[in-house]
Amino acid sequence: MPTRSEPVGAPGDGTPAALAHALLDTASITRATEDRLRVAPAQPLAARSLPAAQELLDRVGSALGVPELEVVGEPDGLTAAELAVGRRLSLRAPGAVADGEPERAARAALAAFPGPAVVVPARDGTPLRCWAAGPEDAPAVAVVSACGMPVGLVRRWLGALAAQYRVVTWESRGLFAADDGPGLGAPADHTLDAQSEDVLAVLDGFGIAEAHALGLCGGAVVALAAAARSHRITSLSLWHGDYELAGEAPKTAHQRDVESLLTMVSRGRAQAAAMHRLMSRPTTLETLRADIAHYLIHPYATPELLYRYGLLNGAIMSADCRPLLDAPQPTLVVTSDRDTTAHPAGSKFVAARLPRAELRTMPDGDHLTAFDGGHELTALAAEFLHTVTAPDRKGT
Amino acid sequence: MNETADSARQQQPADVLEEHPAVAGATVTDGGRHARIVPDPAGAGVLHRSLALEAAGRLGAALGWHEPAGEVRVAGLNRSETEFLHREIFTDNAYFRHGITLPAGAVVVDVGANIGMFTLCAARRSPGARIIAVEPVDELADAIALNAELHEVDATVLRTALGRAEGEAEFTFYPHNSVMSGRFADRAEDLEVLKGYLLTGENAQRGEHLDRLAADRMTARTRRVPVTTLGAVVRRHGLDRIDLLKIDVEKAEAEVLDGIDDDLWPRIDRIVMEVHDVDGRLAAVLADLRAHGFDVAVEQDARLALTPCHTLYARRPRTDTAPGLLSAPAGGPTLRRLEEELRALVARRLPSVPAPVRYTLAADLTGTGDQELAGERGVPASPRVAVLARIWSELFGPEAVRPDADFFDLGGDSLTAVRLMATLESELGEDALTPDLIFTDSTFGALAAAVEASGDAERTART
Repeated sequence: MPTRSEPVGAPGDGTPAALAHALLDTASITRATEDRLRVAPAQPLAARSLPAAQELLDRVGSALGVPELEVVGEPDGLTAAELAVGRRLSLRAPGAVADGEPERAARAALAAFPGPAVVVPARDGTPLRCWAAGPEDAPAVAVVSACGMPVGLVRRWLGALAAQYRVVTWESRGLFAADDGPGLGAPADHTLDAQSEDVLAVLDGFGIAEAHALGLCGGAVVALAAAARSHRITSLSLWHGDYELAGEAPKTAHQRDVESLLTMVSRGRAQAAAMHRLMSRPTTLETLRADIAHYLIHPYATPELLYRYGLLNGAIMSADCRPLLDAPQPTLVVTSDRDTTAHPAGSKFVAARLPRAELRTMPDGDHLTAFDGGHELTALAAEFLHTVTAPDRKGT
Repeated sequence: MNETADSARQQQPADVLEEHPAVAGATVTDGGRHARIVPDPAGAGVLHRSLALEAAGRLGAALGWHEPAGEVRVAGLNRSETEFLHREIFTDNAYFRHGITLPAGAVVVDVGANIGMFTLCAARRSPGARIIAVEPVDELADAIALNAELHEVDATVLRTALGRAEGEAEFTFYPHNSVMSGRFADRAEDLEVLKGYLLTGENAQRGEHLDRLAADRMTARTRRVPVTTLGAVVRRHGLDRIDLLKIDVEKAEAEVLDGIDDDLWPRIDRIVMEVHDVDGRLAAVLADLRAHGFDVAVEQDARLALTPCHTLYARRPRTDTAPGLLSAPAGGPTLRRLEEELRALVARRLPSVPAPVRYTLAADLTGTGDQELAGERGVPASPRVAVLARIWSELFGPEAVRPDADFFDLGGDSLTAVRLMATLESELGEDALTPDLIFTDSTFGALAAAVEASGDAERTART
């Protein structure tokens, strides 16, 4: 946790503390990128201020152990991923920096919730970057995020659930570099089977016998697949799920576009590199919600990431979910008629087919709001979790 | 490949193609890849007539040939609307439900006929039907006349709106979304209805795309149109009865009913109409129809669940409700079906010779030049470029099909690019266009050249 004597730093206030949090928040991209990323200041800086900004960035980054970045004066020519990182860092001309402040800021940021990743091996040995929080003897909840999304995107869910539950989560196999390792490592098995096994491997890693699986977007499919394969998943909640149902329910144009994209990029690294070039245009950023763009853009940040994302998320988006819909666990299915990303009809179909599902169609919620873990959704989750986590089910 | 072999490779399939009853003549060129087909007037009446109508300039600048689901060849304003209408009217059979049928030789009044898709459907269900198609938008009325002629349907096209009194009215035409055009168009209200539709079903569009797409579709043109009453139409055309009155007039439905004289009501046997349920209109129309002695059923299409649109099926209790049959389409195959049949024919008869991959229609076999694509203003035309032009037009509108139009200036983003490439790929095969090309030169002209060149590369690789 941050020490009380240091400023915590608000995003973009230019303090070492704010910079440290932002650097960690964007580290999934910088660690996965071979070349040094370039970042531009939030507002144009006087040329003489650039070296100072670079120096502070280097000191904080070095204390965090994240890759170096290059500060450039103007955003012209930067890729969408570089712009996303730059916007999150929101570099300014540094003010006075106290002795040792960058290092203290780095330590505080590293210790901040949800803390550093714990690496747990998957069944096939692929390292999974995991996080756990909350009382160890509380009922467990596995948060299954959307494929390729950094842990930061579900931080609020983790925080909300950790008060009452033992909550665990992890980042998709093969799509995230280790804190200190040389990049992404070898490509991992990308099948839905392997991805759903990861749910159980993570539970094993933390000594959890059984858990509720909370699946978001494509994570809903992984959670459903895990529930279908193991009784250790005792209940499910599926939030704005993105399901392939072989035409039984309509899909949005976005779903079809992303499927086409994944199919194209998964054909090979050359195709992925070509598409990556197209997607690196700054305008890509305009389609992403600004406050979370640096998370959303992660799987598109490098050609290799895009290729692997095509395989991994392609496996999720193309897997026919209908055979999974006999999972007997009590399930909460949540969607909204305003979700124009993952068609609500998919959730409605899934809820109607699952033997013990309850459907909640929220009046609002545009898909990304599911990740925000706002009060309404976490209260709904808490209400459902209360009904399915009896005292004798508490974790081991 | 030597000249003799090439000639054999072209002559043999051409001879086989001519065996098909829909083919009056055929040549195969381009190393066996391209077949030019002269449709047989008896075996392929629709294709034959479509060539003649096109040669007579009847497509004009606004219309193009569409073959929704490969099932029927029609002239339409834009492909997605034609497909929508075909799905609604033929595939989903939206009108002939709840006991609504047609006797042979029926008198049908098609109010809000759009391009005449319902007119064609009614003609197929009632041999010898007489159809009065009412459509105030000239471009659409042109399409109805063309489609009626193409399919040899007895249709009279009236270029007018219907209302409670004769006169003139302001009419809003949405060229990119003609099905919502009307006298009571309200752009903001119609935009919400369109969004509701776009959010639902097969055509569902994502959020940030939705607004742009919806705004584009709602580009409006206002014009003055003549208005008459249904009573006046019946008198003028000497109709003794109406077996089926179909009304799809985007919020003017109550006005159309108001234009029915008291003595005409008993002579109407069936009404199918779309009602926009605003200000309690659905209940009012229901009450009105029931007061006139109709049994009425109401239904809402699942795809329109987020819109106020409902469909009413009203019929006299005495009418025959035995489901009629949709007669098989006369006039021979569509080009798409003919292509499939010709490919199969060549494969069967000449197993060792690859079937041609491109099939184009020709009035005769003299001359070899490819036709210029209508509306492309100088872009060299070829079947591959035609595919790109069609997809481009669907993404950005027909006016964007010009050499200097830039993908990104038109609002294209990476997902639009994916959609463009995925659609191209499904029609022309993988690598028809690589994403790099969109990145390096994003004008329609450059992409058209690239799509054409990728065809050459494919050809070279295969020979």
